[in-house]
Amino acid sequence: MTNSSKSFLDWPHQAPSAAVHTLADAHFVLGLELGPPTWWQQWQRERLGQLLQWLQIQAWWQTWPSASAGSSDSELSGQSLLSELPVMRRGDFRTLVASHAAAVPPEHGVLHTHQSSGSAGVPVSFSRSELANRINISHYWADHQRQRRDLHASMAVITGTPGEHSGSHLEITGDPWLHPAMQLGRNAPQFTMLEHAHWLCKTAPAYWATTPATLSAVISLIKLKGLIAPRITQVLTSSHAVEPALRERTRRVLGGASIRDRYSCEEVGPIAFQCPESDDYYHVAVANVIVEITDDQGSPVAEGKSGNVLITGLHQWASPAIRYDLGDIATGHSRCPGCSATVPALSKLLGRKYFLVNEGSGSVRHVRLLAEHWLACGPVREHRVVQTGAQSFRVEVVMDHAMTSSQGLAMQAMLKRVVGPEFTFGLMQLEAILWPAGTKRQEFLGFLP
Amino acid sequence: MDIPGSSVQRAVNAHAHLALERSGNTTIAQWQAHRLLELVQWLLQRVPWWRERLGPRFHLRDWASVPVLSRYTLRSMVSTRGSAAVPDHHGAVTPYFLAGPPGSPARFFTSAFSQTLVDHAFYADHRRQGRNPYAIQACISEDIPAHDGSHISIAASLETGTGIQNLRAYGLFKKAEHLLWLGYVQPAFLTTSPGWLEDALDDTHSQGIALAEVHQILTYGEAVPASLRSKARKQLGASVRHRYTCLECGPLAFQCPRNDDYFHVAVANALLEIVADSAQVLPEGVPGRVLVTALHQYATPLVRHDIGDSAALHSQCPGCGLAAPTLSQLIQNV
Repeated sequence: MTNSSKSFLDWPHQAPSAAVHTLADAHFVLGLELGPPTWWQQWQRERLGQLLQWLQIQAWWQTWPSASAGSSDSELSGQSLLSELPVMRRGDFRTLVASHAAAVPPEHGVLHTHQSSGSAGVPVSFSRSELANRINISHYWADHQRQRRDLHASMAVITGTPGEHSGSHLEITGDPWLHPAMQLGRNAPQFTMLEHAHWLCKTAPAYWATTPATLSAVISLIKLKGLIAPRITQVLTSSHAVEPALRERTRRVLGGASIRDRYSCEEVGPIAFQCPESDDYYHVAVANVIVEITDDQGSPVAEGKSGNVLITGLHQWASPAIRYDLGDIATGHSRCPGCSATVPALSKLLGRKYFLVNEGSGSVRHVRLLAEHWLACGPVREHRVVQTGAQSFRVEVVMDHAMTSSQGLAMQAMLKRVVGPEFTFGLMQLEAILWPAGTKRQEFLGFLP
Repeated sequence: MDIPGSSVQRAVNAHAHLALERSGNTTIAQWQAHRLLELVQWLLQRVPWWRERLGPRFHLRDWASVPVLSRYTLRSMVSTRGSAAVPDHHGAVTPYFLAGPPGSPARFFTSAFSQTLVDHAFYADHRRQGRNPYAIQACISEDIPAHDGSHISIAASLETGTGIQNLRAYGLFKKAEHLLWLGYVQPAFLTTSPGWLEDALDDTHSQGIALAEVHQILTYGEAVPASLRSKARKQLGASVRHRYTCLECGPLAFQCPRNDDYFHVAVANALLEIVADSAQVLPEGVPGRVLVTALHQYATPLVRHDIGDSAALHSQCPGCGLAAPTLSQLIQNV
């Protein structure tokens, strides 16, 4: 029933093959999520078994000594428990990918090279197959159905993804099957936040896809400059954690707009999608990843307790991420408390909050600077910590009002407590942070990679 | 991902049904004209009694001159001619029998292709109405065959895209027993007929029986009176979502998800016209007789079939603003 034409007029005799793939994948993705839990459990076991067998054939375990040391051949042939494998740190992933030629079975299609933005401090090059890429795209499309979006309504995108363009935006022609309305893509770094704010008010899309940082900055400016805010139905966010205060500000400023966040990483793709009925919970993308919440030793933590997010990408065979520690922290649930779906869910998703500091003795330490650390000091909307010397930092903050002296003192105390007492912190309150060009905004810029 | 072929077809067709409904009147008209042309060309070339009825030189621009097909004519046509030839891709043809209105029992034929599209049109309504198709469903109907035990249970299936379905035959239990059974299986959705449900709700109300909550009630058959909607809300906490159907064609219109009074025409399944008794097409919003042309029903062609119901047609749904053919003032003469 497939053909290459995008025309709708040929259905039910014909449908474009790209649409058929996306629709079938999305149907399956939502079926696993909403059906009985035995479906996704059995399916994940089978996919993991196939992945581990492939890695065995490709001799990946020889390249990853800690994995090959800890597991026998028979265990790695698909029967082993995932939890018996070691945690793959970002450094491990980078070394493995760099030292092993990427290969996939022919049915996965050709490979393409990608690079992560390095928001966790370690940029990584990796490969992804056509199959893995298709499944990623289908997951995002399935989210349109999950969140009941009307794709005949207009959508604006302000991220780093639409490439550089002339004029105010790029017009992405509609596809009668998958995206009937035209999408307006705008390259984020090409314009100032104020220009984005003006453009958004003029365009007034039904949906807006962007990053939480851009969203925060744009709605601040709309309010500050007294612009006529558009009524937006949903704001689709990704790349950084969304704080409850941002949801509230978005609702207030953008005519009741509801944020629908997507939790993903570049190496594996979608990890979890916000529950359509609750701001607090995220449904794990069980058709794409296995998610574990563990302590620092890689052991599972009790349900409802926060821990490190480890992911295993089920379709990422070219540059496999197995028990990959993203540096994020979250709380795991065996079913979604927001809507009762029997799919594993995440909450208290604090995002990537690690950064590295040199303790002076040459040893390097991870630091986690969480949203609640900032919010406990005052109404901080945006923040960036920039290392300016071996032991000094410039701390840029955007707040709802002028920083009081007690808030400044609280911030100093918090930073000394969390980052280290040996460092000095120069606080600067700004109207807006001058984020550099790039797809992601780095909230910490250190001397260490 | 190894996805069964039937599941792929369901995903594509269900999406297409909804996408067409939301694509605007111009695209809908264009798509329907294509299907109509295919149907008419087939009838002229391969179905002699329809060639005779339409005239050998028939052209779509003469559509308004096509005689209205009464139930009586249809019944005679099927009984004397049987099934019409169908294109190869329609697959096997199956006969069905229907009771029809009093005194008008009839049979009709349908092809596998046509039946699949009908099934998928109903499946698409889950998404239209915001239902989780994998939630537990119950059906209490006269069509369910006699069974042992409290009900027939059909397992959840990724292939059919449905959750557990619990089916129960009308006649095997008392009305109040049926409704109490809902508390046992705890369905998110209940499919039944409006008349039966209203009687059952009255029964349980008069006996002071409290009922378990159901999210939505999916009805078929006769139109839903306001009194039933009110009782369903009060006694089951449920919202009624009616489907306007006819057995020979399948779905004709689905209740607007935002308004009880309007029905979005199932544009990917049927072309509906509203005409006066003189067969003249009526202006928008004026109630008249409903003529059905089934766009995929080749085995028993239904062209301008007067199914005995009345309604008014709108080019835009007054309930939700959707630019698609919509019915109001629906009176079903079941």
